[in-house]
Amino acid sequence: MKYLPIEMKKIFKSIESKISYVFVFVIVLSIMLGFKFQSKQHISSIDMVFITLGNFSRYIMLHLVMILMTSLIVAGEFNQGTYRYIMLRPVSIKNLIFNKYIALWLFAGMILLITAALSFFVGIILFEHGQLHGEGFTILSRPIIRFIIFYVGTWINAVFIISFTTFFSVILKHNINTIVITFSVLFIILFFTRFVSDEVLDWTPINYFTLKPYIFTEIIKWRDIFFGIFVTLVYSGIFTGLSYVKLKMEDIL
Amino acid sequence: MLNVVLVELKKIFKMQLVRLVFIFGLIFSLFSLLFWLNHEGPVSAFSIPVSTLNNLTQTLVIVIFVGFTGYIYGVEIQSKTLKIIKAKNIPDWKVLAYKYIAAFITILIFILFIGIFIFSISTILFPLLDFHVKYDSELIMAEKGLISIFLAYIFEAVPLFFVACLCLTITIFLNSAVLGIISTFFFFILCKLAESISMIKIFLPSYHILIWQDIVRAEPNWSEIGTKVAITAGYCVLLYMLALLFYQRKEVKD
Repeated sequence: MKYLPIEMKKIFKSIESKISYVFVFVIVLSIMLGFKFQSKQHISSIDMVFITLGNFSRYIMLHLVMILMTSLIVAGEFNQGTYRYIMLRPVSIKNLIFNKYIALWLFAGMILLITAALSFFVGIILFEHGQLHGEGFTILSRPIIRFIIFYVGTWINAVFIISFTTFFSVILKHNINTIVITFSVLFIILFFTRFVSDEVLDWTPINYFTLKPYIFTEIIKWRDIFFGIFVTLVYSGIFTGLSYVKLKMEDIL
Repeated sequence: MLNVVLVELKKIFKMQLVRLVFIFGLIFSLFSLLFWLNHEGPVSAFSIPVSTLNNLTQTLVIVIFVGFTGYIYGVEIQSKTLKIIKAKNIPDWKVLAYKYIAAFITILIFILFIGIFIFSISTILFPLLDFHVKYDSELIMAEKGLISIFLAYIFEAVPLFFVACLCLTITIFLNSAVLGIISTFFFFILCKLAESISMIKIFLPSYHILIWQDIVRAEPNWSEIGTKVAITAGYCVLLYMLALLFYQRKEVKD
């Protein structure tokens, strides 16, 4: 775990992380102001905490931020030629990947925490206090449980995009190429889902990018949520395994 | 001048990223074909290139595709060749102008490449029938179809050039191609969110990215198209001027 503080420092000291915070801040405020002035329905401050993350998932904002940071942390090592120096120390590849994942995952948590805090506090100012509403404006019970599942579930699922981008990072070894290609592949996959049935998609992480459909029902769909997290983690494991094999075979010269 | 632009173009097409973007652009376009192959009833060959443009622009995937233009300047930062360029006796405005022109030509090639490819396949698989689009109630005649599609693809290069200008300008300002690409995409997401406010809609670049919808119509409103092109071109000039200002003030250390 001794590499974790180094990776954390790299992330939190980078201009990319600062730009990510600024954009999260601006986007959350834009979403809230948009709802304040455009929506005709009565929205409570607690609704806003869910609406912002819902919109984040809709515009794959968290994915975008994590692609940016993962490409910096993983592909950046190849780009700046530092991977060679790391391997000369030497460092176990397992350890290297694990520490990078943990650092990136904590960063994803930080982004979600900022989103939740900002939505809640600005929501209190802009919107009235009230209950949580679901589809058809029905009142939903247990808002705190739903909040925890929504944010923690999204946080756990962020591992998928980290492993997915890591895979492209070790293949392309260039941060700009990684950003553009990972994004393009993600878009193509998302677009392709139009032609695939929901039964098939249930076995892919795509149906769990947002846990909203399983939380915004009268009864929380626990089975779907746990299954979604499981599927996402399995896919993450596959991509991590592939990245590991690629790095193992890598010629550092 | 032509020589320098050709050198820039050569540099662009030698980039792995550009080749990958062209491949992914084609793959993405082929999905429209997949959709129409499953469609019941007669399908016009003209519907497929329209559907391709729709998918590329509505999903904003095109912003990421065009984001490669930021790398036209980014490659100079990465290869530390800015110092050499600055040392040469070429005015700054020319250095940037060549890069912006090269970006425009690449975008034009990219969009036409996709258009011609997808239309060629469509004509093999489907007949050239009259067709209609979701946003226009009137039928578009088959005789007008080809010119309409061709103009839509050509004109689409203008808003895409705006994306490139924005990406290049941010790259020059922040001295990082990564931040240029990401910030451009963030900017467009923000614009998409802001589109819900009808008062400012007309001034938003994301609104003009759908310029092809004004052309692929039974009766296009050319004055409206002209206004949109003028607004977008104005933004491009403004961004170029800004980039020039940042570039002139830049301190080249490496």
